[in-house]
Amino acid sequence: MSVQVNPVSEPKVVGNGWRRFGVLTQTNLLIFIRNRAAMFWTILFPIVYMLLFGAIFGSQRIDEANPASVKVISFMIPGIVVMSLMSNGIIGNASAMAEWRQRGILRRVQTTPLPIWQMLVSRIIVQSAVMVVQAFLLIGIGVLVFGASFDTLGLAIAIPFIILSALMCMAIGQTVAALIAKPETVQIVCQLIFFPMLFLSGIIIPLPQLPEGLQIVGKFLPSGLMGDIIRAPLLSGYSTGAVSLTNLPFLVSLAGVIIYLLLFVIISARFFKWN
Amino acid sequence: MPGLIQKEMDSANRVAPGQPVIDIQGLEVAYGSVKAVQGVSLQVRQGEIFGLLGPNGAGKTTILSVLEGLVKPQAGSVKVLGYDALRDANAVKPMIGVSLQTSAFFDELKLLELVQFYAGLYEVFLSKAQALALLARFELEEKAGVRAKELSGGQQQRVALALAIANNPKIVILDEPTTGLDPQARRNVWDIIRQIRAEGRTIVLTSHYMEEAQELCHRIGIIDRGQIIALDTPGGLINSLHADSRIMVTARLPEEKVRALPGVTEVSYENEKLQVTSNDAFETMLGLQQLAVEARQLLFDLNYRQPDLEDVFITLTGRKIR
Repeated sequence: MSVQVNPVSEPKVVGNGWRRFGVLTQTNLLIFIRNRAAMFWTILFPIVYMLLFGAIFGSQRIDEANPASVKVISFMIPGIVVMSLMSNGIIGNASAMAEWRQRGILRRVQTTPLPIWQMLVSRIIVQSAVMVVQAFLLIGIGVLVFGASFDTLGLAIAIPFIILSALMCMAIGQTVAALIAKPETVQIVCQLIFFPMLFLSGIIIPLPQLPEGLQIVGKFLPSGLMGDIIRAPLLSGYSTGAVSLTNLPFLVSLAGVIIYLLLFVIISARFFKWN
Repeated sequence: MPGLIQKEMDSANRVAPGQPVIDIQGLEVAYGSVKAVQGVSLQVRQGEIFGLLGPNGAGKTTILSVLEGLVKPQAGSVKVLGYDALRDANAVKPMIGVSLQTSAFFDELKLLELVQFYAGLYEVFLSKAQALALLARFELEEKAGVRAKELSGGQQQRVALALAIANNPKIVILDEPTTGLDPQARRNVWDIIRQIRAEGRTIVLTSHYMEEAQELCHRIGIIDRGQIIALDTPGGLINSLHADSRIMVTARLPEEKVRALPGVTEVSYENEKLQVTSNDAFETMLGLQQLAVEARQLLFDLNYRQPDLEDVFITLTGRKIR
């Protein structure tokens, strides 16, 4: 083993914190794109689901007697968007955190001068961006392949609500990773949260088709509330006043998502362990 | 190191006693009701390889974790390069390089990206050529496009060492750098650690391998149940035992003169071979050489078995280290 001797000197190129944050975020994106499990759950799974769903219900309308009524697919796409947000934010985020922690990555990063919150913020930015892209990929497939129709301005207005929902999902994922140590158990618990949230909240199966007792639970599940605030701008648009602080049902759903977000942020911050 | 006198090895290894770069006083760390570190005080000097030697669970990693800013102690003071490491961790972190027991590699990143990433966290932005040059120093140049999980244990350990100096630190902290490696890979890592030290860096490492500490470290703190029970050069630790060494040599020297040499406790002849037991092998062997010169004889087949660190640990604790 011949190792060159490099005497200790000052580091050659020293930049600033922003450049470091850039490197961090670039790497986080690379890590995300290269992670096969993440790609499957966040990109492939919702698209396959979307194609299956579209193939079955693609041509149906909500009111079959009325050809002017909204297509079922238009109504369901916000639900599929919520599903992909949950899959990415809850399952993807919690598994990554649990794995990073188990492998000592979080600990190793803590020994560097990087403030550890920047590691999380960087990841949240990357994941939020991916989730917004994914949402519009799903919407695009719905429109192009299955002829779903949405309010044009509503598409833009939906973005902050998609981001808000993405943040809440990540906070749930972070909370699971905070309360449970083993990556395998984290996976199982995520599934136990994901599937009830998917099927009981009216985003995939309409609430009226559920037993009455479950309907009230479903109404206030985070997933149902997310479905409400994403569906409102997409379907009804801005002009109808559906997305408005004077629209009480919308306001209640929005407040609900924000409350859940704060709640999970507080719980995860309180209980998260780095090692 | 059979056959070599530790005292001579120490002097060959000796570093000019440098300024203390790490100064730990009265360190106490508890995890809940478990006292992991109980009143540890030690200094690490500029330019030395300092080893913390002890069984698993003795508190070695905890002491390193305090230096790395990962664990807050209940009591004590820790100074690193003049900074208060407990209050001013942000001043200390850029000056230390770290390798933890878990390797902390991202499966998704290739070695080159991994090096650039970890250096970048220190605001040290390596170009591709610089990152390649760093990997080349650890004979990992050809693996630059490979992910860490595809490497052997020894190669992975070299990656960890490359990452530990990616920020060009003054102090390098290595937690069990050779655990789980085969003897050849272990020696390879020792060479690298010596080279890193030769660049002017100070090394602090932990080990539960006696021969590793004995061969690699300039000074050793033996730690057991959260306390430093001895701290000295390897030779100093062994000599402090005053345990008898056995010297065997083919020579005809007058028994009474041998008996009068410093340190000698027993003398006998077995099959023409002189058998000497000594509590100061260094002085006794010097004396034997002197006697041989006076009698115009050569010392043939000189054989020597000295107590080692294992004996030190057993004497101090009454137990074997593993």
